[in-house]
Amino acid sequence: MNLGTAALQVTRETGRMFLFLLQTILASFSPPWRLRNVFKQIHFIGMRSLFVIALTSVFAGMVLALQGYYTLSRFGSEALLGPAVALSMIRELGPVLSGLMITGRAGSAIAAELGIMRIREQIDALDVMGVPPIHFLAVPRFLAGLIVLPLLTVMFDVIGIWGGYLVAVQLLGMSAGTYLGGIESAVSMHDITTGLMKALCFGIVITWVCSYKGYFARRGAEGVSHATTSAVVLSSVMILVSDYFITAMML
Amino acid sequence: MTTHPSSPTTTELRARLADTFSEECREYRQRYHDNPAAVVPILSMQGVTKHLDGRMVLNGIDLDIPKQAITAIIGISGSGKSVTLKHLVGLMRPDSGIVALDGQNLGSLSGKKIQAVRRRFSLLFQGGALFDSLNVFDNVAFPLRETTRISESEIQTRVLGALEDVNLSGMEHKFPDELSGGMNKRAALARALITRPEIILLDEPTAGLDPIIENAIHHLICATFLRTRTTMVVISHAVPAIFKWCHHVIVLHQGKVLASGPAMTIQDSSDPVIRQFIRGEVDGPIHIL
Ligand SMILES: Nc1ncnc2c1ncn2[C@@H]1O[C@H](COP(=O)(O)OP(=O)(O)OP(=O)(O)O)[C@@H](O)[C@H]1O
Ligand SMILES: [Mg+2]
Repeated sequence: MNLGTAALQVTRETGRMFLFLLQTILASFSPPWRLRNVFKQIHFIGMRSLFVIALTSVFAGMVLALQGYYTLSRFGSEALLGPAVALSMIRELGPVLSGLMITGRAGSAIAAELGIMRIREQIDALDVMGVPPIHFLAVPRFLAGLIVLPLLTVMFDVIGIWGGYLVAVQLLGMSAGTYLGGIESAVSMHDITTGLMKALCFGIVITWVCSYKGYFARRGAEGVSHATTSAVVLSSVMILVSDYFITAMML
Repeated sequence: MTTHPSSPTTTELRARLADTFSEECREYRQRYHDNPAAVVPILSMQGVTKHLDGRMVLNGIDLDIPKQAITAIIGISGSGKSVTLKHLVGLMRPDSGIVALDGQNLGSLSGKKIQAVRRRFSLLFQGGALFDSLNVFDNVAFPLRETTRISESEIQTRVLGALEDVNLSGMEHKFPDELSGGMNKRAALARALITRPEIILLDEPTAGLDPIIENAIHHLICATFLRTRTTMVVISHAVPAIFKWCHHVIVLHQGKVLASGPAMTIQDSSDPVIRQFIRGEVDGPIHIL
């Protein structure tokens, strides 16, 4: 394949992706409201990710406290451990790690499910019945992503900070007052909004990219596996890239 | 013109179905021969070509689907029957040529309009295309729940009735992956028939079924037709049985319409390709092996 063809293909693919997003957004504002489907997706993307989120966040918080203590103690500023953990959690790690975990757990499933529906002609069947497939399939997942990601991120932050507390206070013998008091005075509302903004964006990215990849899957089982893999890779990459730009914008 | 009782029940019809219907077909042939223009087409394709993956699949298809009649599309495997059917509902768009419903070009419609048009159709996919995550009952009820305002109790009655029609009573709580291939196909057929649309397209409704059920499905399609006078298009490999169960036949070959006309005329055709196909002979103008 020569360079020109490749460039054209990338351009076309990007265009189709944004068109898909646009159609999804427009469709989210048009009735009928499939609340039951939205709740089902919230349950699937959110509820069933609680355990992984809890597990990863507590360890992320613990390792952050451990590393942070080691670094800060070199400069004699162990007292700043609380704010260091809390700010990294709230501004960065909470949304990014939740986003990556949800991509792996729910995003891959979305891509695979829609991919199988595509290759078994179930999406065409929806179309023929006069049920717009984007409205029926992509919109509930999209809305669920928007709602769930910020919530999971908040949970990730809280549990992560508590994980840091475990290490700092129980293991390293810091006083609880120093750890928590530092957090209270250092974290501003702006930090929290930044984190939540990111979570919101990642919610869009994950459900958009993974729905898109599954929706346009082709060529049997191999096509679905390809769609799933590229959905996870692209979604993860886009989370990290957009993370940089959101950070730069919100500083 | 044969006379039809105002609303005959299915059971009554079943008893004299074949007779009633062959009478119909004779009458249809007569009408067609007297004046083909008197047979009103509801769907038509003009000069439709379609390339898929760089291969010419439809090579200039011209056809008319007569209104309120059963049309069978036959042809060897890979001749483009399923692709043609997908063009008729607008699932695929032609590279060139026109697909028209009631004289209106489907290609010119978009968005909401095409959705409204689609609700005039139902389509049985060759692979069934049941939703894996729903059980048989919910699958069959799906189009009613999504596109009509029928009450849940009425849906219940209609779905159970439709499942009984395809001999799937008691299977309503099974999931598609727990059914045999033939049962899957029948559940999908029930889903296609349940909305009672204006036009029903069936892609091989009897493929993979045993001869008894095949016959029963032909009876069902025919009885449904006699009751509702719905336009139906049936792709079928059930040759020669299908000639007994349709008014009109279209023979596709290598992406073109080889012949079309009343079933009885096509059956008596002297075209060597059609004769070979109807008789299923390996030797002849069509080279398979
Ligand atoms: N989605 C697709 N992409 C690429 N090629 C396709 C696609 N669908 C069908 N084709 C090709 O189009 C040709 C006609 O296919 P079609 O499914 O219409 O055959 P058919 O007449 O229905 O055959 P059968 O009786 O076996 O179902 C085949 O050669 C097939 O390879
Ligand atoms: Mg086919």
